[in-house]
Amino acid sequence: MAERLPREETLRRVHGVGALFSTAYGNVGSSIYYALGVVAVFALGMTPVVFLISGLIFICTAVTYAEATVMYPEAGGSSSFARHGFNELVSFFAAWGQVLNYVITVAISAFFVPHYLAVFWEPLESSPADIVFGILLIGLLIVVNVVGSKESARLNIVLAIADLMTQVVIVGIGIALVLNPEILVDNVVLGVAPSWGDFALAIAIGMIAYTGIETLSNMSEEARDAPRTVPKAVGLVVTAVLILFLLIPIVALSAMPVTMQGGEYTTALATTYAENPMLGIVDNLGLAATATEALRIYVGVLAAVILVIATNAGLIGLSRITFSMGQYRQLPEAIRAIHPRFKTPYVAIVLFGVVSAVALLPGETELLATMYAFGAMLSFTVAHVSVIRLRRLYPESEKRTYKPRFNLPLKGGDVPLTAILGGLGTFAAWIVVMALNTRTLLIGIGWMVAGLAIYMLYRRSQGLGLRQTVKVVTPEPLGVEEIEYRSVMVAFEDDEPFSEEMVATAVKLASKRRRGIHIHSLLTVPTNLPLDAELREAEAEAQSKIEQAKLIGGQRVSGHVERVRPGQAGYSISAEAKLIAAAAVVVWLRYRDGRPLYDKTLQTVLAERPCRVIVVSEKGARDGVETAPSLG
Amino acid sequence: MYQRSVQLLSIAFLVLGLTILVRTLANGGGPLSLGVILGVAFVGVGVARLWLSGAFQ
Repeated sequence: MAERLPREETLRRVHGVGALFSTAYGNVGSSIYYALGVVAVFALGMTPVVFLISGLIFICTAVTYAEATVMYPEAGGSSSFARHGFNELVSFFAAWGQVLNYVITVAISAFFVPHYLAVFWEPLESSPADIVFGILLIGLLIVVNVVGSKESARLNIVLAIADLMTQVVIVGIGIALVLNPEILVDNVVLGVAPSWGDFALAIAIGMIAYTGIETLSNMSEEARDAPRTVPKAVGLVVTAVLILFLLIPIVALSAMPVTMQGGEYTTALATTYAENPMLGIVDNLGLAATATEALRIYVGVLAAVILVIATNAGLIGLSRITFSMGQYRQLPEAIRAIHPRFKTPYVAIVLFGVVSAVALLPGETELLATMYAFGAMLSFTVAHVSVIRLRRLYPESEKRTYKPRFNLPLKGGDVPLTAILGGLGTFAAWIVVMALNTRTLLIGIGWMVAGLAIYMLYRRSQGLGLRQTVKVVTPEPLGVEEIEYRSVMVAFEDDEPFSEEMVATAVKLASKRRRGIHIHSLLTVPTNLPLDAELREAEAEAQSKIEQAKLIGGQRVSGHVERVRPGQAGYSISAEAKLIAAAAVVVWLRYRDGRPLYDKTLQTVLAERPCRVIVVSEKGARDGVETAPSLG
Repeated sequence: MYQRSVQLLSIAFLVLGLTILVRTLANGGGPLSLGVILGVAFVGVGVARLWLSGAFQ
């Protein structure tokens, strides 16, 4: 009897530690390009201390995220944790806070792009050019995301490495040329520069430097071996970020010390270079003019590219979180509408993209930073409290395969110390940012009240309780069946029509040794949607290819629908072929204007060479390419 | 509905009290300043009402 592989999952988990780290670092590491200046406005000479304290709170938050994400490797971050720990109402609070985070991340990243591009054209550094540029950039990215963007993992890795290396080099040069501990001490006048109020506010705002930790949670549904890879990636991101975010302000304040001007303590980092702090470091490193100019241009371009990626990542995050909220009936159906042609959640992208553009209009970095702190601190506090609650509810859960050290033993089970300290820190920061900034208090409370009103009205209209968890029913994939090892595999992409020739070729090959035939039917999920997003029509079409194959091949045909991200089809096909030790894989060769088109999928499969590859073209069934010795 | 309203109002008192406390301290208020006393009072009322409503059970 042929050996069989039980098939349960239809979600492709592809990301290893490297991809998780680089994407998360790319998101977290990009924030120093705006956070440094904003924090220095309030913290002055205490900026390094502020980043250290914020960093410690960040560590606690990262550990909390690691524990809960490993338990529930699904998109949603703190809203997912709250759903499992509490109820849907608390989950909504966390999710709505996250939406605010993403809105502000998009706005602030887009706003700072022109500040770094000002190395080429100075007017971009100030109003109204920077506001106009930022809004146009958001508009462009809205269009790109509606049409469907491919988030390239390879590009993310390259940029993350470039970003990391650049920051290391700048820090290295700074330590060699300008670091002066005496200046760093003289920069601080306790209680005066900065005042205690500004110091406290700066700590809350300093958390903006660590935006991006949610990325790991959102990527966890696609992480390979999540209990191992997620904590490892978290550890690497935390280490890299903490070290650099401590050293960069130290170098910056050595290069641009705090001085008394016009009766007030100030630093060029908080004034001239508040809007492009990394360029300020470059300008004040004391390098020769030519070297400074070259480094300025390099840092300016790198920062602009990274911030564009961060803006796009924010838009993708926005569309995913709002789509997830729609799936759980937290937001009206209309928000979840999928574009019929592009298969992207275009309503969510356009609506919240416009909200980001409106947030950008005043062109006030401080307001954006405090609003971010409001949303993030609320969301993080809910995450910490949820993890504590999950410990109490499920002290011996098998899902908790990662448990941080330092737990407080209590009656009924222990609680993580990191969650307690982190929760106290984020809650205090949330209170501080509201208490010391009236505009933020009013806008933030207004945002939450508006969201709550939408939630309550929508839920009432659907006859649902406020605390009730309801998920939109997605039809179970049909024919989730076992696969026979050593089958002949036939791969269909979703933009390809069903091909009788491909199945006939597979039947011919399989019949020689009475092998099974396995249909690997791919469904490409746009980056803007969670991987398990409901795509009924696409799912039905992918499934129909399997059914049509069964009509031709008979009982020996099995199949499943595999969800992949854009550009991942080739890797999915290769991985599946290796998994089932396929005897051969049959793929389609397209033609355009009479010429064969070796697209990325085919190139990847041929490069990976999991087994014999049979390429079938429109012109008839024939053996195309043999890339490995016959395994028959 | 009543229970939820009570809890919501108690949380609002708690947050308000903390806000008053922080603002007072940030503006240099001493431990016996009106802002600190009011802030502590609001926090106390909020926590006490939450406790009585059974929110901590």
